[in-house]
Amino acid sequence: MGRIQILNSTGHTDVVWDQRERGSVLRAEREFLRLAKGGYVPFRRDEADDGAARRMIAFDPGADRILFIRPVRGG
Amino acid sequence: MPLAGGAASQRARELLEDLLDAQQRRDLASHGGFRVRTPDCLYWVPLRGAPSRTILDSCIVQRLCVHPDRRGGMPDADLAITYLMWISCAPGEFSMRANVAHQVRLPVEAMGEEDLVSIMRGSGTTTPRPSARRPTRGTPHASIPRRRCSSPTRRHGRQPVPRPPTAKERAEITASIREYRISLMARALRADFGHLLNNEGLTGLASRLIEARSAG
Repeated sequence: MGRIQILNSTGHTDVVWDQRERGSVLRAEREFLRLAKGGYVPFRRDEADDGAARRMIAFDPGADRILFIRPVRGG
Repeated sequence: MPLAGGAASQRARELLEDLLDAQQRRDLASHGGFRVRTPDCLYWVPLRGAPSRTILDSCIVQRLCVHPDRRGGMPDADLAITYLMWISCAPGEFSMRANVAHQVRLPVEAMGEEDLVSIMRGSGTTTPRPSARRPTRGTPHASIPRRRCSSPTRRHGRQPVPRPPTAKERAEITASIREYRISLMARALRADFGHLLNNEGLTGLASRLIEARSAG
C-alpha cells in the first residue's frame, strides 16, 4: 500500500493506492499529476531507506509515502 | 469537509511527530521546535515562526525569513513539516529561497550543539525565574567589590604602606577580576546577542569564552 499525503488546512489529506490494483494506482497517479501541476512539490519517504526522505519528479507506485508540500520563498 | 482548527492541528502534529526522529521528538516536546542537521548547517525549526540556522564553517547564526508560497490555512505543524522536508531533502534550494532576516557571527569553537540550539531557539525570550536576581539597568552586572578602608593612616592623610595580600585575599581578587571580565564580555556580547540570549545566557557565554581564552 502506498500513500499520498497532501498538507492542507485539514492537517493533511490521504490518497491511498494498492500496487496490485491498477485502478487505484491510476487514481493515485492522476492525483500526483494534478498536485504537481498545482504547484505542490512531492517528497517520498520509504521505510526501507530508514525513513530518509528525498524529492521526486515522477510518480512511482513503489513509493511507501509521498508528501506533497508547498514551495517556500523568502519573506 | 473542513475540520475544526483543533482537529486539523492534532492531525498535523501527529504527522509531524511521525516524520521526526527520536531526538527531534524530544526537542519538540521540551522546546516546541526541533533541530535538523545538514552537512553544512544546524537548523532550528520552531513550531511557530521561521527557522534559524548556524552555518558551521563560517560560525554564522542566521534568523531566516521564509514561508510557503501559499499557506492555505495549514496548521503550524504542517509549516514545520514543510521546512523539515525542504531543509533535509533540498538544503541548497531552501537556502537559495530563504532570506536572512538577521545574522550574527559566533565563536562556535567555544560552543557545543546544545549551546547553538539554545541560541537559535532564542532562549533570551524566556521569562526569567522569579528567584533570579534582577540585574541593574538590564545588563549583566558584576563589579569589583569596593573594600572599606579601615586604615588609620587615611584619617591623617598619609599614604599607607602596602602589604602583600594574603593567599585568601589574592583568591578573592582573582575571583573579582574574573567576574568583572565576564561582566565586560557579557556587556560586549549583548550588542550582538541581546535579542537571542537573556542575561543568564549572556553571562554563561561570556564565562565560557573567557575560560576558552585562558585555556588557549
